[in-house]
Amino acid sequence: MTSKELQQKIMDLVVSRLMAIPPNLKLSIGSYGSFNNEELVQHVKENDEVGRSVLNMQMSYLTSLKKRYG
Amino acid sequence: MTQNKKTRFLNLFNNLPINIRKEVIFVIEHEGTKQPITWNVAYNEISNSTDLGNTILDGLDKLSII
Amino acid sequence: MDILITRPDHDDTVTYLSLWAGEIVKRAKCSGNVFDYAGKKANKKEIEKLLKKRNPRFVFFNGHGNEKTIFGQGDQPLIKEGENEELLTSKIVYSRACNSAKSLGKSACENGADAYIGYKGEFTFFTDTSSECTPLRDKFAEPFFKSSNEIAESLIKGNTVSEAYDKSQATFDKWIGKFSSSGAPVGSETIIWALYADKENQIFHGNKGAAL
Repeated sequence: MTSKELQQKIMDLVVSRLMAIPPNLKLSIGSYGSFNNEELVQHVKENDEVGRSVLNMQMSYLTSLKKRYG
Repeated sequence: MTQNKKTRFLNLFNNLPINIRKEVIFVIEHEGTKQPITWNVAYNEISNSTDLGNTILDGLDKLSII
Repeated sequence: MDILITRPDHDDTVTYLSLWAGEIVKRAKCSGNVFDYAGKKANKKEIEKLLKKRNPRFVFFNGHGNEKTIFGQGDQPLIKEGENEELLTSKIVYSRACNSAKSLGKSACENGADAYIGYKGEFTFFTDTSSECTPLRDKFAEPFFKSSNEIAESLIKGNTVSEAYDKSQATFDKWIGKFSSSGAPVGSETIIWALYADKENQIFHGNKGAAL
């Protein structure tokens, strides 16, 4: 898998995970504001500050599971 | 190598809380569409040693999830 | 013992912080003199005046922040690295403001603060739109605020900084465990990652043995 393919896989994964968030829930991220799942997906796809922050949080959590439960 | 990844996956999965097993951990391309794969779906494929299971294992390894 | 708590409420995010910090205001009143600077009172002039005049032992900031700044009502800077962090000298500070522990917290302790507990990244939390009128009954916000409130609760009970930190971390783990279990509310597995992020971002600087 190339670096570009890996980045795409990560984005697809995070988008998929965000779409699973119930639509009545909103995430507040500091001074950026509050976002529902569709808005979060948009930010991730746009790769802006909010999107990068969410993507990093998601991947940090996923890669921590093996330490926590492995 | 695959056996090592399988062992790592199973050791992790066996200890995962029930609700976390519903979480999406991978996305595959199937017939032109992107399909989410949860821990539970991954377990089914990997424990049955399917080609899809091997694809998922490779992907989870590259993502450092296992 | 004097305690200062800032609670701006000019947007939805800080309103949630303000209301949940209100629980700490109630507890703190049993332990000392509480200066509850909510809404418009969470401004730089009032806060600097109180910090100089009363020298509160514990300061609990709620609001927006960045690496070098804690903001108050209307996002007015209250404490800014390189400008007035010496006002935090000899105090124990808990800042529920994004990123401030990354740089400001460290600088504050280097300039005399006894200890500074805060977050080195964004402080995030989920809310349920059906509970927006009753934030204190929001079952999805509850884990984030019960866990982060534990710092202030523990300190007020007389625990040290490191004990308060450990208790808060354990509370985060308790909620992660609860939301990972079969009895959790529907959809709760989709928010565990944010709880984990807050837990990992929570740090402290300074004297770990400091207590109120």
